[in-house]
Amino acid sequence: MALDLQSNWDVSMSQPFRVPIQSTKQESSSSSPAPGPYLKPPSSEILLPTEIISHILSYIPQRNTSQGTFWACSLVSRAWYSASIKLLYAEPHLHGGNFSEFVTTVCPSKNAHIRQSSLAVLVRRLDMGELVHNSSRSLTARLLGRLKHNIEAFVAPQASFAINSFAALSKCTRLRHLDLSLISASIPPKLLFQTLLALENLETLFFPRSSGPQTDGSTTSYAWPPKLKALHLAGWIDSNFLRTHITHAPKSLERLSIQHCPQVYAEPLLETLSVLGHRLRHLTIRHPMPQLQVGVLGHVLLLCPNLLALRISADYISSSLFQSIEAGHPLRILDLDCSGTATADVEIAPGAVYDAVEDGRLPDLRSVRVSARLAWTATERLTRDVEDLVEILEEGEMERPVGVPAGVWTTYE
Amino acid sequence: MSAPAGQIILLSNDGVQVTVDRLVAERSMLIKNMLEDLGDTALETPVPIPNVNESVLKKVIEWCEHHKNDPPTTVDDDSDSRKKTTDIEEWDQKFMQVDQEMLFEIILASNYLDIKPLLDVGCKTVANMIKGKSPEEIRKTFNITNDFTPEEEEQIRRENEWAEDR
Repeated sequence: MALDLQSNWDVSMSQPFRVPIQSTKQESSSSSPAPGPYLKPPSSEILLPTEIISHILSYIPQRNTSQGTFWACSLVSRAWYSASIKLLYAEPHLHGGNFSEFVTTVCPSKNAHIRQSSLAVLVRRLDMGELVHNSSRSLTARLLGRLKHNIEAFVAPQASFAINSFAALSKCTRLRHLDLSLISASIPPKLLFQTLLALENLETLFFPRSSGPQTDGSTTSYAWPPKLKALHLAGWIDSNFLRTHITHAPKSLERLSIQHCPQVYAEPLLETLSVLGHRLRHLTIRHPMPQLQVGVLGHVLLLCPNLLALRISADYISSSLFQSIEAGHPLRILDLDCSGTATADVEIAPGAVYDAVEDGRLPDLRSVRVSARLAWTATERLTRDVEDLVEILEEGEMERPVGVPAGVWTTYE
Repeated sequence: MSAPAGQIILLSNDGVQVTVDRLVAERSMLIKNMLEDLGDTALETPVPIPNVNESVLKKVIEWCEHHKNDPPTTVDDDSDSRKKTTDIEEWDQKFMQVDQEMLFEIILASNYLDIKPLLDVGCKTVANMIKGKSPEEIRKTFNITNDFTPEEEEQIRRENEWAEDR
């Protein structure tokens, strides 16, 4: 009798229980369809093959917020485990709260359990950017050592990454993306480039932001990763480094960004751009760059005739930027930043951009984002000028579509 | 019996004949390729669809009917660069408001019949339904049996503890 009661309870529970699950759907705010109210309890289990479950999970983006979903899928059943485990480990979202547990799983000890090392090989991107004091230098090196054959992207932690981590880093030969921008320890350039020698597949490199050695002193160029496409400079870069090394960047380079460089002066920077400018498609030069004076980069579009996107602090240009351009420059995206310390003579007017488009100097310009500090809506006249600019950008996209959303947007830093 | 001109008869696995426009049926790459291989002789007899029952077949045909004039999907749709969006157009959302069993049946049938856009819509629908759910909620929603041993489940929980939302 007790058994019967129990089974009755199970049955009566199983029916209404479906309702709250359906009605508490968390995605009701998204565009997903809510299941109909006529949802009937299923009679038999329908098994989906793993490749279809994989296809389903391919619609869940690799975002931090998806980690819990992949985790849940791994615990549903064997087929769901097989389909989700790669996704769970591909780009783990690591932070202070879960880092030590993650380490325990992917490198528990020197003699790793077979199953556990089978999880370590699934990691494609190791992002330690959110860790502050959760790792140690030796642990970072050990983690890199365990993941070295598979990771394609690495974001170094702020602390707990130092000279002794470079040996481990140089063995990560599949790396395509290396971000050292957060590192607080100073890194000798020679050591950095010795490590880069082994990273033949590297396409994107972020330099450390730390000040580091005051001068590098080398007189011949280091070897660059041969496939480097995007180079993000910061920190200790000085005039000698620009002249000796950056000008020898590989032919594949098409994106360059420079910011937080307290020792970069206008003259060597312009020399560098006159060498590299032709191959650049994206260029960013942003504050703080304390050695650059107002207006010194006014000819940057002449130096970079093939640029598609330019992000620049208005501090270093003037309206002349939009006059000294050869007709038909391909620029599509223009971002005008402005530092908080910019003086009143830093001023770019929407009319200057309008004239460049109207006169055919920037016929492909579509998107203009402008710092609120440049006050493009301060007066009625400026507001009208911005409206005119929006109109000509939209017209351009209608007549000769380049696939960039046309308009003017204000950015707030 | 042969189908009227421009039509084809499909035979579901529970023995029901369904007559459908050839244009509609050709949303299925399986059927389209078969008709190309066999020519019009294929139209003379009902075409058995062994994996799909009548109610699912009719549901799939309803979708094909609505989408018969869609442009054909391009081959490189599957590349990594494809924008993975879970947006579903309104008609398809309503179409997918079915019970879980039918939803999985539609997915399996579209996979078998090789109707890629329908497979995608079905998979997106399921993806939208699992976001933010616990393992137990996913099992309940889709009637999935937990086939782990308690030891396996415990090990997976322990190994993946770092990834659990807390």
